[in-house]
Amino acid sequence: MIHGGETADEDGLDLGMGLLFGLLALPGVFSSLFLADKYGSLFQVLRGDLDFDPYSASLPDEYFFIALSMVVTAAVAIWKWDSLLPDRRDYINLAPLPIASSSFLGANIFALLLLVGATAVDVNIASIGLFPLVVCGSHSSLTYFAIFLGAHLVGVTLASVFSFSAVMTILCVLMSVLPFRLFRKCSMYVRCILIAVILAILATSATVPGEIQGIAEHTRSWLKLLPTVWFTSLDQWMLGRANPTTAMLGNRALIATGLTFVFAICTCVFSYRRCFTSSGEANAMLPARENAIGNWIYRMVHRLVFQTPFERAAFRFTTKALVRGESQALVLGWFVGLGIVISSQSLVGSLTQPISSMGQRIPSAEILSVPLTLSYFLILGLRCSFEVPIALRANWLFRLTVSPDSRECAAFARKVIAVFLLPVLLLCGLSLYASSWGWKFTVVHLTIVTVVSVLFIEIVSIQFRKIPFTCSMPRFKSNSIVVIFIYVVGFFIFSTATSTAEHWAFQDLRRVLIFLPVLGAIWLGIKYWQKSLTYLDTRVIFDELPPTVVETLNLSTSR
Amino acid sequence: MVSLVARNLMKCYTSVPAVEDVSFSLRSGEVLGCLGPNGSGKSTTVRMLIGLSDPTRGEVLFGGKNIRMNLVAYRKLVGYVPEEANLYPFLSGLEYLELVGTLRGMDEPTLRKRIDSMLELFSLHPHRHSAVGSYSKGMRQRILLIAALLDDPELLIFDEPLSGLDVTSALIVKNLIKLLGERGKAVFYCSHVLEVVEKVCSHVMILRKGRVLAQGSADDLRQAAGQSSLEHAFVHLVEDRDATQTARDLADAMATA
Repeated sequence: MIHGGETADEDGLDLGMGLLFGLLALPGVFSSLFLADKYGSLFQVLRGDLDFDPYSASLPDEYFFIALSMVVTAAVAIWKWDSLLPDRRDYINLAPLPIASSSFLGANIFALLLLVGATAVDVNIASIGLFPLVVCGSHSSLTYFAIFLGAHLVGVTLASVFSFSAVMTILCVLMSVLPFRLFRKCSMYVRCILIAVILAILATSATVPGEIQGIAEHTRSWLKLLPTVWFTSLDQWMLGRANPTTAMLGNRALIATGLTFVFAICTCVFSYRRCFTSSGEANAMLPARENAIGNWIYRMVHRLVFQTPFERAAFRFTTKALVRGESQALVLGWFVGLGIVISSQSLVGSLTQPISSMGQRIPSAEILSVPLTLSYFLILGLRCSFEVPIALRANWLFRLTVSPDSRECAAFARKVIAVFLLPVLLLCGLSLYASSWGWKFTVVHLTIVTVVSVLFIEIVSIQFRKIPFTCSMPRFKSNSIVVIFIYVVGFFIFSTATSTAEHWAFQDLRRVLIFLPVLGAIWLGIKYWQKSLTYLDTRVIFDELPPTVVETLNLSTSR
Repeated sequence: MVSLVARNLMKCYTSVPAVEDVSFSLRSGEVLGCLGPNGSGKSTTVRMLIGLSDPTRGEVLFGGKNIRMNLVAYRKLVGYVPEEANLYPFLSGLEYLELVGTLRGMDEPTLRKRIDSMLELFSLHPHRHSAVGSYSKGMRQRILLIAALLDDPELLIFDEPLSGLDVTSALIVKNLIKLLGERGKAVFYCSHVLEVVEKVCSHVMILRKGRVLAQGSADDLRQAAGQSSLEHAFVHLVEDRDATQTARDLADAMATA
């Protein structure tokens, strides 16, 4: 299931289970560590908050972790949608063997149980290990810690099982009810809708937690329909802090998890036979139509941004590979997802402060950091996904048509990143700042964010000499740890430091002028770096080989 | 009149020669068939001709100039069908051809017109928006053929172009290759199928263990080997084991306890 799937790319990125599970666990690590200052006793003293109750204070964060657990687990199920049930390759390889189909069914259900168990443990292991420590670190009682740990463990694990089972149920029901061709056709739309739903669930982290403690029979009945509220209520009930309504909702979490799990297995059994026999025709061509809107957008972007034949061809190729390539979309989605998680945490953090920042004259540094964080992760996500090869054996086309001496790759990568980034920045800026703080702040802030982002794009693409997705790459580079460290430090400089500086500058708008020499100096540094590149640093490559320990001179071959 | 000349080509992989001292010339209007058993160096030769692989020794000249001097300009004049139909499976047939045409610098109206007519002629028009990954082997091969012909190149290099094609498409392609030769294109044609080579090619070159074993017209080769057909001439020149006996041994091996 991890490596499989109808669209799995044999030549592309094989993340390997270890790295994949590491990536899935990372949001939990980041989120837990970011909370250290909130619960640290030193920070409480510095804040003058001597009557700090970790249990009460942890409610929004508990909600966030439950939402995160549901979202990441559901994302895994959506991502592996095509390989949860047998696909064409399974059918071709297994059907001719003298084995009963009930044996395949048993093996598939066992594999699904393993996957859901492993995902639930992996996605939550960091928060289970770190979050209770962070919250109860300043408390001396072991019982206090054990109760909190138990409640958190049960809450997030059941939330994971619930969300995976729910996606699985939707998949199996659709598979059972719809004709196979229609199922394949609407499959992508259903997945998009599910992604929108899980993002919406994550977005509720900003507003819903504050309502849970006061939830009663008559207040906002729609809140009681949210699964995240059920599991947070379960957590509160286990902590002994539930009122009758939250106790009832906690009970609902247990029943819903059990029912969804059983229903998922039943629908899986029911749809299995149909799926297995119809997967043989999974490769059959479905009638498709020309995408007129897509073509219009391409024409517009070509006219405005991409002028040369190489750029035009490569842009179409890049966008299609990003959207249709599984590994590429995963890498980009992971970075963007991490960006959304950290941005929403910043928003939640600023909204739960005693005095709402929204009412202040200027936005807080946390709110200013939102577009910077999104920009940082989108740029990095695109840059990293460009490295992930897709159908490498087909890259002979580019090898034949693109001159190795062409210096277009870095400029092309910069343009593509900019094309993806600008709409996000505009949308984020207009929706977040324009209505609350007016146009003046919005324009100044977005200008700074855009300039800083452009500089960052220049830096990340300075030695880029590949056509996106067409170059092989070694699975791990020797400097991977250093690169991850640089990414983390880069995030703090790009997002945290810049937003803090902006917050300081916005207190007196004349201070904004100080950005000019700083950004100008960085620009000159980048230009100097670009000029110092040699011919070999800019030559187009299609194979990135790991450095060899021993270089052979091939002296036996006479030229 | 342009010509492709291979001069003393040699290619070594970790000091083992895959191709050694291969020389031939191909002029406009000629169809040169390249024959040889597996591992004889056909694909290595093709890779050097197309500039995907540097010869260890020797050179490839086109129009009298070493192709390495301006590879991009040379490749603009070459249409290539590789041995395996490796296409981008996530693109539709139409998108793939647009990618090829745009990379070759063709203007959009001409490109669209040619793609439409060629897709129609190769019976792919109804499937043009479907993903290449869902195409059969023959359909992928037809896409490769269209991609090679799209920009009306001077030189065509075909490596097993009939692989996976149905009878009708194979007939079309065989006639097309002959016609291209008659219309002044230079065609280099690699194949295992001797009958096709005999029918389509004006000249034949036989490779064995990386070396040119024989070269000339099909008639010359038949006469030189004293055989009635090119197939017999090929077996006489290349094969050093009895195919009938090997088949009998295999059938016996299947029944071994």
